[in-house]
Amino acid sequence: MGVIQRQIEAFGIATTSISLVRRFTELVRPPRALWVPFPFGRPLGAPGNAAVQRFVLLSVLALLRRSNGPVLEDLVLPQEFDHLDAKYQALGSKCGPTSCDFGAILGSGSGESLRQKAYDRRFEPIQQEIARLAVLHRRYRERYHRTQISASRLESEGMIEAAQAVHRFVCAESTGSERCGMAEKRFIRSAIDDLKAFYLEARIVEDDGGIENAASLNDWLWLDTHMSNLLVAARDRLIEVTDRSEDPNWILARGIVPRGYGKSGYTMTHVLERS
Amino acid sequence: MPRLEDLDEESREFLSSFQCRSDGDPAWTPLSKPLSQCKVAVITTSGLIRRTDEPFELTNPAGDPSYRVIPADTDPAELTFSHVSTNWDRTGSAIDINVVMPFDRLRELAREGVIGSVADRFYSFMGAIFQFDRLIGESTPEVSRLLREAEVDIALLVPT
Repeated sequence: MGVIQRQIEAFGIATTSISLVRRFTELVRPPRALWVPFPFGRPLGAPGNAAVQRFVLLSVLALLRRSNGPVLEDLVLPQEFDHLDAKYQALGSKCGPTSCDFGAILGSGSGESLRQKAYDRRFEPIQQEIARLAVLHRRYRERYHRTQISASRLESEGMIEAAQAVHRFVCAESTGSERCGMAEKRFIRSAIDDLKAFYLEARIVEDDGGIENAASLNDWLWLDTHMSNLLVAARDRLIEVTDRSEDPNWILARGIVPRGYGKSGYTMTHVLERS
Repeated sequence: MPRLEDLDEESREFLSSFQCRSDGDPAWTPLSKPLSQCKVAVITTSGLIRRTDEPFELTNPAGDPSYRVIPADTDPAELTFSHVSTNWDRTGSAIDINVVMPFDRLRELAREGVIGSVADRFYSFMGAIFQFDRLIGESTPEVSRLLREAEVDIALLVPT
């Protein structure tokens, strides 16, 4: 982003920016930047919190009053916004921010996976789970007038169909043909992204705490749902069937399961090391 | 984001592996008029698109250096992200788009006279673009020209 900023400034338009990764900003050196301590995905602070969003905007615009640069400043949060600092909001509060001690979380001391189990290939519990969440998702749409379900080109009402396609893919029952105008693997990845959006959006109406801290929403999705088992299995299957001459970096399998979740911290790095 | 030292080792390594392009001191364009008379446009690198837009190309490991136009009066219901990452939270913007793209907050600042006005068009890029040639040679110059044509005084860049 800093590269874009530098070029626009050189074109003769004054620029200022929010920085999330201070180290990158230090290296790229855009003319004006304000580092903020918020989690990725929330650069203005918190949803529904106009006061913090306004505070950030005024602070980043204030850098334009400087007479020379480059300027890189840190946003100092007033006490009333301190709880929005990313240090309290690692994705997956039970797993972050520095490690994921599954055994300690369970109190079992086993160090084995949490409630997450290997996918047992029974679709019925997932179907029931989606049916229950569909009621909540309707309420979400009524309240917020939107949804981020879009990648698979299926509607919110089509999530059982999306899950069924992923289930069949995991069970090696899929045909390999195109779906919704996309090659099969691309469609499966899109269905996965839409299922995650559907689950998290439905959960928002059930868990108001998630509005200020997304960690509780992620903990629920990855530790308390049947869907998480299917998603982990789908990620593994995508890796298995990927032709590395076409996709050497497993792009379609990346970014499905957050770091810290999955099989005892099993991540893409482990997959890459194994191959 | 959390300070790098607070992240798990894998995330830290992943972020540290990013190629950052640095070219010495940046250009410096001072404001030519008071903030209260300036027109502001936002450039997001969140991969925000309108549902009718062509999604960004996600399967290229070097990223998609193209951009999308986001009219400032776009209904948030029409917006979605075509760049999905487990590293960043989408639930915030699922509740309030202003946490990523501060449409309402900027309009409020314009009404109060803190800034002069809000541009009619904002712009969106993907994050993590490593195709610098096309980014620097095509997309950013185009966006810069469009900003100038729209008489934008300040470009506010917002990552995600």
